[in-house]
Amino acid sequence: MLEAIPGTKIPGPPWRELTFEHVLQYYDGPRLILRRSDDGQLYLAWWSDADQNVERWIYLPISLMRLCSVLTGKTPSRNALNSPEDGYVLALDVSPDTDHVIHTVKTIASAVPQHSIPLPGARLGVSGEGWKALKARLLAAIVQTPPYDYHHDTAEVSIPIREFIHLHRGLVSVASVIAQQLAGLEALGVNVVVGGNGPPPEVLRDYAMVVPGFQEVARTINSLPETTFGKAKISLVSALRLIRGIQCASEIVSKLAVVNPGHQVPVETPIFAPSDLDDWTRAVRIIEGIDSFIQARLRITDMVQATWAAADHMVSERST
Amino acid sequence: MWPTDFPADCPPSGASHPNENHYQIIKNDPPMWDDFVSLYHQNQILAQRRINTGRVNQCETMGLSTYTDIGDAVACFRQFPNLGDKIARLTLDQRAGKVQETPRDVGESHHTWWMPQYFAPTAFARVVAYRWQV
Repeated sequence: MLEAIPGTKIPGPPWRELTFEHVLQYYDGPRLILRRSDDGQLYLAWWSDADQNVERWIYLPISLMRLCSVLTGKTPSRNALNSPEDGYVLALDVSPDTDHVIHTVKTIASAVPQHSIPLPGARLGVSGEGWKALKARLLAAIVQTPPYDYHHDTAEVSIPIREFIHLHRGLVSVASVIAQQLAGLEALGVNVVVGGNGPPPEVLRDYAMVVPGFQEVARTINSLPETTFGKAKISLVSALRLIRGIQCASEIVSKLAVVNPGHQVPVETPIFAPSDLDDWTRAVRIIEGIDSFIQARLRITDMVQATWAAADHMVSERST
Repeated sequence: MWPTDFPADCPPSGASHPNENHYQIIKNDPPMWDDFVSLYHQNQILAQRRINTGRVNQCETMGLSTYTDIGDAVACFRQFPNLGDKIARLTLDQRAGKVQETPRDVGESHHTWWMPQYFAPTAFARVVAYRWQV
């Protein structure tokens, strides 16, 4: 019987299904697998141990950029497990008979028996042609399923700011991953082709890159008391213009109309109670904040480009 | 002669007689029989599950993993300590059956080795590295 792993036992894995699977390392069976959940989260899964009843796997939620760093050997496997981006790893005990997950424990790598995870300093090292092929496969996996469940006409309608923020908040667990994935694709010079009825690729990309910024906005908005600000509307198109730098924040703010809440207003006009000057001030502050996220977006792109370049450089150095 | 439970097309037509050293992760020194049992013969249920999920075919589960580059073997047993803590060098010739290159993203020198019936692998294997050394 395998040793119990301390941590929080949860009813099951945090995904509905895994939509992508690629065996990266095989030794008398799959040992290292890259998987992607239906909500876009990537997982790198290490085979850990087995007995007659269960096979144990350690799942690390991972962003694309971190994944590249681990696969190319820049980051040792144990370091990645010991400092997970989301703060946890999952230990899954799987039945060999049915492939069903018997136990799921949310834990940290240091709680896992140390002989059951990679040794200190052990690195993966995808090299040369293998790296090129794998990179292509990763890109295919990322583009395979639109990470956003948006409909095309979403971009055409106005929605409450709060809902707009919630739209992003629903993606928080994978937000940084998606942001980096899409920015990573751009850094590679790959056009993001998202199938189905999703919004245009450039819209997705812009959204994704400012998601970390929007988390900050979400926190600010959620800290506000429940006031009429909750009814404020900004068109998604305007928000995107802001994000993309097509329109500056002050210009948008100057167009915000103060109207009677009961009045029938055009779709793009936000609704504020005339007396709600505080809310107005907050809105200005928040929109000014968005401007700074545009700058953050540029920094993210630079960072992503640098990481891809470093990964490529590492592989080419190893090949020579 | 192949074991009777091998499917008709196993080993695959692309496999050939070994003509170089191979390296295998094992648990015993000196190597013992149970270091050379394929997944299929070790745990048929697990093998069948992997076949059903499309991760491998039956023939692959009846072969053994080896590396021709000892560096890949070392990297593997450092990555998955529970696989074993020793590396054996296998000096194989045509009596040993057939091998096929089956490279992976991690472990490019990965091979699959199919042993004939009545072959005694322990006579061709010698431990050359322990985990504590590397």
